[in-house]
Amino acid sequence: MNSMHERMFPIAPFGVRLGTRLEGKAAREQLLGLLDELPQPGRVVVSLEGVEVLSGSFADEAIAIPYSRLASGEYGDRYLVLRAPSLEITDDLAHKLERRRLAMICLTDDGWEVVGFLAPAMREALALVVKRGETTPKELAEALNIRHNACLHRVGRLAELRLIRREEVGLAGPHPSYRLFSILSP
Amino acid sequence: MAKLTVETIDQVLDVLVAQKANELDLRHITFIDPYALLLLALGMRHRLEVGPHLVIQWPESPSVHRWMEAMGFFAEVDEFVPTSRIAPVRVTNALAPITSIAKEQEVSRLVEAFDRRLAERYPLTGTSRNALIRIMIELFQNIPQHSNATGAVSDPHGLAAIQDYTDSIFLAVADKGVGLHGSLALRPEFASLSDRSALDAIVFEGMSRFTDPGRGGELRRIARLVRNWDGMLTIRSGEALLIMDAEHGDIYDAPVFPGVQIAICLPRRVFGIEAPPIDNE
Repeated sequence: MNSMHERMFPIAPFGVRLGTRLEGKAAREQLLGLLDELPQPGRVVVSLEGVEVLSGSFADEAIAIPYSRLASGEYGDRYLVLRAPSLEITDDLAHKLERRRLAMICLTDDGWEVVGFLAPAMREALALVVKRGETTPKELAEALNIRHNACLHRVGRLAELRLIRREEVGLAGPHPSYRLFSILSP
Repeated sequence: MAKLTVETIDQVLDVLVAQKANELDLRHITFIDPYALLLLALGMRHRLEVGPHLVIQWPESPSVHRWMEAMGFFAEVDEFVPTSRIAPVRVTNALAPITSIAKEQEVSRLVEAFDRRLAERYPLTGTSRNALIRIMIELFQNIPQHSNATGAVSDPHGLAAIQDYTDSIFLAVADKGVGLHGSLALRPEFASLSDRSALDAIVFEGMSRFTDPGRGGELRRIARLVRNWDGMLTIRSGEALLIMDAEHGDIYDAPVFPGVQIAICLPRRVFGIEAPPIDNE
C-alpha cells in the first residue's frame, strides 16, 4: 500500500465559538479545496483543537456535508478524520452525522472513537481493522467469528462510509479480493 | 392580570390582534417577563401595521417602567410612545436588552454580546455556558433562515432578550414571520398541516422545510436539553402554544399571531450560579 498523504485542517481559525450555517459554508469551501488538492491516497485531519463551541449548523455545513460528498465517492481515495480534545465538542456534529446516517473517526488524547451513526457490529469490525492496520476480509471473518459473506458486507459498508480503505488486489474466483487498511495508518 | 408572563400574555395579544378593542390598559401590571415583553412589542407593531389605532395605558409601577426602559422596550416601539416617555435609562438591571436580529452575518456577534453580558454578571461554568451559546446560535439564526422562508413577509422583525431572576435565566427570541407552519408548508407533503401539527412535527419529530437530512432537529435537541436541565420551554406559533417542563409537554390553543416566539427559562444552578447578585423584582 502507498503511504497515506496527510493534511491538517484546523477549525479554530474560523472562530472559537462556531457558528452559523453561513460561517460553516465558508469553512466548507476551504476544506473541499484542500481535499481536491490532496494526493491520493490521502486523509485530511479536521482539528477541533481550540474550538469551544461547535454548533450543529456550523458542523453540518463545514464537516458533515463534505463528509457526505466524500462518502458518495466524489473525492476518490481520500478520507476525513476528526481530531478533538474531547468528544463533548463533537456532540452536535454527531447528531448531524447520525441524521445523515454517517460516521467519522475522531482522534482523541485517549485513542479514537466513532462519532455519528455506526451499528455495534460495524464498530467491532472497524476496531479490528484499526488495531491490525492492514488485514483481509478472510482474516477479519476468522477473528470476528462470522461468515465470510457477512464480513464482506461489513467491510463493504465501512469502505463506503470512508472509515476504512479497501484495495482490490486480484480475483478470488469470480469475485474481487481485497486488502483492508486502517485510515489511521501512516 | 397583574403579571405579563408566558401564561398571561395571550390575553393582551388578544386585545392587540382583535381589531375591535381600541384601548389596552397595562396600568396595573407589576411584572413582565422577556417573552411577554417581546410579544407585547411585536403585537403592538402588528397592530400598527393592520390598525386601527390603539391607546395604551402604560404600567404605573416605577420598577416595571424602569425595567421596560432598561430593556429598550420604548425605543423598540417608539412609533407608539410619546417622546416624553423615552427617558434615559437610570437602572440597568436588564441583562441583555431587546436586540434586533435581521441578518445571518450578525448572529455570531449578537450571540457573543449576549454571552458577554451574562459572563460579566456571573462566573459561568464552561459546559452549560457553551450549551447556551449553541442554543442562542440556532435560535437567532432561525430568524434570518426561516422567518421569511416564503419571501412574503415585509418585516419578520426578529427580536431577542435575556433577563436573570433570583432562580433562573430567561431567554426570549421572537419574530412575526411566516411561523412554523408557513415554513414547513413549503414542502408539499406538509402543506395541509395545522399550526399545532407543524409545531409537533418540528419540535417532536425534528422535521424541517428542507428535505436534506442534515437540516432540522435543532428545536428537538433544544427541547431535550432544556428538559434535562429541569428548565421550561415555550414555543408559540400561529395559534399553537407548546409549554414544556421537565415532566410535561403539551400544546395548547392560543390567539392566532404571526411568526414564532420562544421562551427558555433555565435554573441558575445549571450555570453554577447560586446566590443572587441582584434583586431584579
